[in-house]
Amino acid sequence: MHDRRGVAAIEDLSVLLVAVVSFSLFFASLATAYALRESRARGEHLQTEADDLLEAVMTDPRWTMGRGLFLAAELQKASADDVRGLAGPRTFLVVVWDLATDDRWNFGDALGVGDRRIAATSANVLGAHVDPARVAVTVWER
Amino acid sequence: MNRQGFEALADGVMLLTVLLVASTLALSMSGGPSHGIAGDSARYAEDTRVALFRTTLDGLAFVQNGAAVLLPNGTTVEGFLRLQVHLVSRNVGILDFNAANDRIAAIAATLLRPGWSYSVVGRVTDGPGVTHLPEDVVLPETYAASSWAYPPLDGSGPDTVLSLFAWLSPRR
Repeated sequence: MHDRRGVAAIEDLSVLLVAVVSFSLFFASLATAYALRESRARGEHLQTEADDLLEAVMTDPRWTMGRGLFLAAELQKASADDVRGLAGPRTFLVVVWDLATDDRWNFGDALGVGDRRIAATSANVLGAHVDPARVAVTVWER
Repeated sequence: MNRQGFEALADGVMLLTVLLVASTLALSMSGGPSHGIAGDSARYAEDTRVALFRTTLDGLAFVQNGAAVLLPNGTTVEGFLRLQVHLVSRNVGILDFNAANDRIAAIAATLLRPGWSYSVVGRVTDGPGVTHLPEDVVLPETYAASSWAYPPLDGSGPDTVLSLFAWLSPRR
């Protein structure tokens, strides 16, 4: 192409193309970064709620005698509604598992929707003996 | 293309470079390390140590100079390990705690969440480990630890220290 205006137009077009590609990449990565950050923040918030619920269950005097020492007889009497007061509005499932007798006490349900986080730790169940136990709390987004 | 055209194109390439760097920075800053993992591990090790040591067992026994010594039913793991460290560190004859230690190791293994490994070490203050559960475990570079010191059972000598080390070791 020998027309000066034509050459200038091609130059402008190539620069424009580079700018469009650059800004597209930049804004796409900004959007991705924002989405990742939000998702991570939501996950951390949910994990904190699961941790808090675990701590509340581990120390509740209605069914424990000291932190992490669950009373088998009191767990038998407890209901999901008792735990719901500690859990707030989210769907939750709390499982206390006596590893010696294989008895399990479940509170709540596993019908939550969306993202979920689990907090679990070691504990004991006091029945005829002091048995080793595991406590797991699952909290769903909705 | 004339000189002005090349300059414009160079500006465009510069813009592309700057925005690529900015994009990389934005993406890398969005996925920083999750905080609180170390604290969670330490708390988990503490919970596991307390749960293991508080567990009571019936029929715990050990062999001393060929004779079986049976401990009372309901003896805690903590009490048994304290006794073990006390006896081993004082060299009171030929001792064999293997059977009871295997029971305790099995409990500890079930207590831990999948993917976690552990080691229980008993020693006297400032001394080497005299009790290891399970045996021949090498600690990894990073682990969480929880320890407790107890006065000597006979009121003399150094304290007994029982420690639980826990670390995440995903299956290969």
